[in-house]
Amino acid sequence: MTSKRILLVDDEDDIREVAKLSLEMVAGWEVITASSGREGIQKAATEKPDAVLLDVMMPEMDGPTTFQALQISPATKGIPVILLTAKVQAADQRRFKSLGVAGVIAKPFDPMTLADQVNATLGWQS
Amino acid sequence: MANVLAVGVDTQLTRWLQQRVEHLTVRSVDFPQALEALGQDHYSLLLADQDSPNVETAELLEAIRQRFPATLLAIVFCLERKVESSIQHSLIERYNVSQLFYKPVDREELARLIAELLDLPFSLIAPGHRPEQDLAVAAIAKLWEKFRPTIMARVDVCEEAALALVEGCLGEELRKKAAGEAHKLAGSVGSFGYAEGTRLARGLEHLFQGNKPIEPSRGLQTAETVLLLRKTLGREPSAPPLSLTNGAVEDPLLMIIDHDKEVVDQLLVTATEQGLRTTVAFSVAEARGKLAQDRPSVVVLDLTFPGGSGDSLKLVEELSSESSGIPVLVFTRKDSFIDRVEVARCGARGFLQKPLPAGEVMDFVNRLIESERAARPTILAVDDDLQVLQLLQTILKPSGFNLQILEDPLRFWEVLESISPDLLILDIKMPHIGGIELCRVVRNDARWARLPILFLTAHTDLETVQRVFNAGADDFVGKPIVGPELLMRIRNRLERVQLYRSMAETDLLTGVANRGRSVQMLTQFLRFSDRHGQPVSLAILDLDNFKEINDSLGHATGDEVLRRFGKRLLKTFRSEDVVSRWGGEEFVVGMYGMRREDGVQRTADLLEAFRAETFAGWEGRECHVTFSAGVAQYPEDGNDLQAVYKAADRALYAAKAAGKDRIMTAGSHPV
Repeated sequence: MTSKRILLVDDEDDIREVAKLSLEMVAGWEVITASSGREGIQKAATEKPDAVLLDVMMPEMDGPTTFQALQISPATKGIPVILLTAKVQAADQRRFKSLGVAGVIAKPFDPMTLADQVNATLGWQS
Repeated sequence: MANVLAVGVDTQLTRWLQQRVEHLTVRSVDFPQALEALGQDHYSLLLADQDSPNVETAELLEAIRQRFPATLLAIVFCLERKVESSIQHSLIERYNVSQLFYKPVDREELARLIAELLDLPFSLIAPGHRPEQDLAVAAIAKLWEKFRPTIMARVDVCEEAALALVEGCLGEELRKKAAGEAHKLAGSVGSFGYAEGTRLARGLEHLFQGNKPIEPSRGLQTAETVLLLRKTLGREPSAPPLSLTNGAVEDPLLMIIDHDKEVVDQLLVTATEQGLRTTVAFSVAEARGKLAQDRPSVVVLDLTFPGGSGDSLKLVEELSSESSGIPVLVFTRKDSFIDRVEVARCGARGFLQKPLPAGEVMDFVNRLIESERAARPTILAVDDDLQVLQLLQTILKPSGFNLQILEDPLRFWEVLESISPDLLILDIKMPHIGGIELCRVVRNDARWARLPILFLTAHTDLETVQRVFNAGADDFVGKPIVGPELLMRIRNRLERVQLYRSMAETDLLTGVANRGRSVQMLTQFLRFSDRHGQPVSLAILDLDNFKEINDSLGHATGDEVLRRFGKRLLKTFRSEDVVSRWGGEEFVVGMYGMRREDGVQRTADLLEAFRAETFAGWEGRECHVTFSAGVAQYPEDGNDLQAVYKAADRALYAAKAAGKDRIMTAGSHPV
């Protein structure tokens, strides 16, 4: 398995740290973090991650808006995006998927299998 | 390729290890050659085997420590489990031993550990154990510590909103804020292993979100959910600080209900001296108020309140009921037979007559506390993770378990022996000595063969499960720990043990205690009697013409008579009385605090009731069975158990001789 580089965008410190730790320790991936949509867009352009994990509910610029901004910019257009959301209702999940994201992962995630979920969503070999 | 130097290790074991672990070379030497051998070649691990490390071993380890840093040479030491814990500690702390194994060594476990320490591949049955996950689990636990204040602040907001809801003044702003915080909680705490926390938070989020007015009636329920959430996340608002080796064993709380200020003061002084917490009520009404807030360990109560004793007796009955189960000691000036019987009927655990020195009352109180404590199952949990221990505390304590926690696995053996728990909870992964190892050693000791052992494990893969059961565990519970699941599994295990135990102490046909058990209890009664000056009555009951019943109606009918007599006995006497079958058709009943006449009265009640029972006799006709009894009183009729028994037996003989179906007392006074 080649090591992956993941950009994690979430305004909550605890989620950011637990996800970072999980992906680094369990999967051995490299993780870059951003605490707002705006910072996420910047880092996506400069750090060229293999995928973006993006929280839905953030103040100012939320997940879907950030995703659209990433889609517009040619530099970040090709990067697959997975939304992280604590909304569990099927309607919400469908709505998010219809935006064109690569997938949705529900919060709370299991830190032991978060990398597996990302692999499965993006069709990466684990 | 990795080299291991085996010192004092059986060559069969070293050969096996070499085959079992790939890329491993093992060289065997004796202790005196160890240092020299280490200088000749590069070794990554030293495996030592010595029943009890001695001074030479210490010198050798010291020399090794000075020449080979722990980072270069890992040391695994196999020894007898009986070796003092201070020596075990110094092996680890002073001589850098990284892991201990108790003899006889489980070689699979040893092989697995060596492979892990040397970073060599090792598979048992199912490959796929990922040690990096263990590290991640530990790291996440640390993160939880870091973020707990933030997370608890979110719970605070939810609580504020719930309380406002109870008071009917929840504003729009707070409600919205609470919905947001509940949402964040729902999305995060599950990742830290609090799945139940996520579930509760989601419920709160659901309630607070939107604009529809919330029914005021849901306020209390919401406040309760918040409280539950707080508990689930491991912090009780009034939780006592957790002490590491001893668990949070709170001092017992004594409630004194008495209107006599002088009596109360004396009891208070003595109780406080003896380390009890106390609370006082000068009336039954006041007591009820206090009982709503606190659950005392024991209640000492007077019967004489203005307005009669009815109210206080009612309180005795409520407290003694199965649902509250608080032991009550009646301490009163009243002393008629009727009072004693009434008090016993209401379920009080003892009757002491005033005046009596406070010290003696406290003796009785302490005995009750002790027996209560003994009745609560004791669980020993060994885990190096304080959070897990705290979580266990939160789950187990409210359910009436007496939890003792141990963070240092090296003290395991002494703690196990000193508290002799009813159930053991072990963590798989602990530094220096693993739970599997502890479990195996416990199982090798016949005294603990029946102790239920439960494992906590973050891994439920086949390999781990197999290791757990191979070591002799009874069950395992996956991490994150789910409270109700853990409780259910603990109760299952304890019930099974209880069943075995009661089978050994109960007469299976009649359901009363067997002879061995009753002798133990009667002896205890006599001891208390000596200390407290209370009488003990002993009654021997013998069914009349039982041989004829068996011979003419068959053993099935005989058994039926015995069974129903046992039932009737249990119904007639208090749970504090000793009711037992000593063999054949002979039964013995011990009554604490009852004089000869009281004992006769109760036995006579039984005779009257049993006479009325009908059994199937010849040719469909009904028949009746009676018994004869002799009653004696300690210490008046005999100064030890044997002497009292003899006195009662003589009275029984007199009753039989006088025509059966009657009760006589020692000294052959017919009744």
